[in-house]
Amino acid sequence: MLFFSELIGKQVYSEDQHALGILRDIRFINAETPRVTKIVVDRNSHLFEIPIDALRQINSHVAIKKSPGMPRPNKNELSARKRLLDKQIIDLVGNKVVRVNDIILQDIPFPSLSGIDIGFSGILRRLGVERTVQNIAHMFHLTIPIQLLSWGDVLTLELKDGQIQLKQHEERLSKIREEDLADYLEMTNTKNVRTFLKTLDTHKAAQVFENLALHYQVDLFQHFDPKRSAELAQRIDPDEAVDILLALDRQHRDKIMRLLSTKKQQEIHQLMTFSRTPVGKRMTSEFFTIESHMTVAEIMKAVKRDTTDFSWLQAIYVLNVDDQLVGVFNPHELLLQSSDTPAYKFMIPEPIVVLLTTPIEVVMYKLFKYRLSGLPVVNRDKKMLGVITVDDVSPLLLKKVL
Amino acid sequence: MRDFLRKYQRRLLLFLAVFGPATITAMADNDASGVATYSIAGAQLGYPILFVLLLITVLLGITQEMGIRLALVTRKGLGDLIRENYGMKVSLFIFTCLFIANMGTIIVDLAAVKVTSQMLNFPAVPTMIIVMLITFFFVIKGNYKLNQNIMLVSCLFYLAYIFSAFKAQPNWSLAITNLGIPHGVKFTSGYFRNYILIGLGVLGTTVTPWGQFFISSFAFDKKIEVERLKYSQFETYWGAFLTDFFSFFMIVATAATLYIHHISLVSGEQAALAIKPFAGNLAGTLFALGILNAGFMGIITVSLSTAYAFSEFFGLSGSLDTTFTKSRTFYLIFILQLIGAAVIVLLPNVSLFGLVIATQALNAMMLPFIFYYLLKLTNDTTVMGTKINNAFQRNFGMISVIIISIASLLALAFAFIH
Repeated sequence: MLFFSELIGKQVYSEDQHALGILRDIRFINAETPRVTKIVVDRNSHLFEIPIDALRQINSHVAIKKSPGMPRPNKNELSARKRLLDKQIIDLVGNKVVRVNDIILQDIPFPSLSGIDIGFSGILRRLGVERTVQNIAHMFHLTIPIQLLSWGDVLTLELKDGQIQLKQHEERLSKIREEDLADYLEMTNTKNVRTFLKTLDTHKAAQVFENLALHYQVDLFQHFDPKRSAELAQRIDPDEAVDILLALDRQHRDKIMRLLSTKKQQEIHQLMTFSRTPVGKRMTSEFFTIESHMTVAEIMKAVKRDTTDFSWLQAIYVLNVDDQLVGVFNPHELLLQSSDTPAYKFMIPEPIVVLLTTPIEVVMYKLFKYRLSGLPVVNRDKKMLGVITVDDVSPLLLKKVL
Repeated sequence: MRDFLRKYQRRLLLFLAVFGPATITAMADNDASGVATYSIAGAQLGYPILFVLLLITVLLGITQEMGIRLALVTRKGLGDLIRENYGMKVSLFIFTCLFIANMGTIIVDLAAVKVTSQMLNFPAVPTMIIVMLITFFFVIKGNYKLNQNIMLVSCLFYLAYIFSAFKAQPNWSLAITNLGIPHGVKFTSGYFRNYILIGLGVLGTTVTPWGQFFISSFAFDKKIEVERLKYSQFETYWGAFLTDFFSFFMIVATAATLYIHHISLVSGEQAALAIKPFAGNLAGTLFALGILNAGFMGIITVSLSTAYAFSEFFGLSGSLDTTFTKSRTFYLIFILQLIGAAVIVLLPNVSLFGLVIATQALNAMMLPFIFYYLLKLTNDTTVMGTKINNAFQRNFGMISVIIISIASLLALAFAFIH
């Protein structure tokens, strides 16, 4: 991840260290994936273009291949500086929203524009004082929010009129979501991710971090100092924290664990113990529970609200006031009921359960004997810990069959 | 004959449809700090300063015309165009200068409201607060049309100055001939120095940086079509004439009384009191009412121009026709600026006279920058298409930039020597 303003003004050198000039602009294709096609270099006030394929490296300066080749003209190309930077962003109905303060570039899998910076930090970066202001803000425990806009939110056809139109209504355009930011970051390398996460406050960083793929998370934990890792581990979902911690070597893991709060330590420790038993290792923590007095209408509402990110919903578990598992039913049974029926009237009471210590063979036996797609895993207090499904044991089963 | 009338009736209607932005901008140039400056100019320099007024009128007309043409052709305000064509640093620099200068102007206007209400035996602080509340209410709750009409009605109050001038029984032939060539006084070096200093003040209060932003934003907010450009252009010239028509009477009123009797003024508000012995109580009271009204007009237009400029520079929604929630930043800037100014006015130890001079100097010194970008934009075919400046506008504009720059530097030098 690189910002346009950080790129502009850099010296351009050929690989054999000949100064070519100063980078002034880039050109990109105005399309769904806005590939960068050329860079524009200023040599003694004479502008010339270099095709992007010739680009070798960007650090303190820009390095270009020895014989860059001739740039091919392309009529769909736009200048980032003239057509995008500082332009007005309007929403679908023409309300002014904000201006383009900076442009986000990415180089993986190929050089392209990935989004637009619409925030205050973009303004500061343009003025060259982002770092300074951030440091000052840190002293007062303030953070400057980063507001980015994904390229996917922009109507590319509208770029030519000198305004940038969004695909949505102004109100729906909140700051970029953490998941999207994580997606952005995954496009780039871990070094960039590290520098970027540093600019965020811990809360926001944790949210973004949580959405990264596991190998990024592990890599980051290996590079962060244990204190920073502990801060993040403290805030993210304990299941995820366990996954990451287990991937680290023992010494590193213990260092991070010691820095966590006692409560968190216990929680994570427990989850790690689960992972030592065959059931604990395989079970998933994705399950949905309701209380026994809830009516069908309320349950439907809860399902709609809370299970949007579920991979699938095979069963709805019913808890009593002490959070003990007392019943189960499947979504089909739910649909058959009238909307004011409470759950305890139609649930199947006393569901079949397994414990963490139950041998995996017994789990498989129960799954097939009762023809269930999943079994709740409970502790001795009948509190639910997770669910083990046919999917979870199928690799084992496959091994047995073969 | 009937056809002839009908033709002109149609034209008049078309003119009235675009009427507003240019007249209001021009008239608001005669805000309270404007009245103060004209009064001081008349009292200290007499009729010869009228010569400068004529030149300034031409300059005002031409620059306002550029502003409105720019807005109608590009459908953008001056702030929009500067940000899009010259980037972040220039935008921030200009906005910061504009903000400081406008703050000064608003403080002066509010102070004038305070001082003149004292003269008129109104309770000063409550009057000030009431004026501010009325302003908040109209700007936030009202739409473009209401605000425009309030300001147009407000313009009628300027007739008070004509009355005051006649009551002062001036030497009309001397006044009018001085428009062509300055004469009738002893041109000493001290007079000449004051002439430059105060002349620049008159320029700085008539042709203002905020006026350049305001006219383009206000015309844009009125949603005038580019086809109506001719009528809007005519209105800018009319507005420039009208505003300085009234300025003429302000200067005449003080020149005929205070200059003749060698009574020097240190603040504009004093003029209302000072002319009483010579022009009568009614003239003085009218003069004071005029200043009160000018202050009201000034605080609305100048605060609005900051809010417009900010919205344009940073691309936020900013229009009188939108709700508070939608253009929140726009309205907040308007309100906060007024409240900030009010706090400063209520501080007991602020020298308002010094503030008037400092504000106008800053305004005048900003002008070359603003004109530079205004000229660059209006000379640029990629921005203006076929509607670029003609040779006269280009040259007159350029020469004005140079003359104003030199005058600013001179004034600055004089101020230090003084």
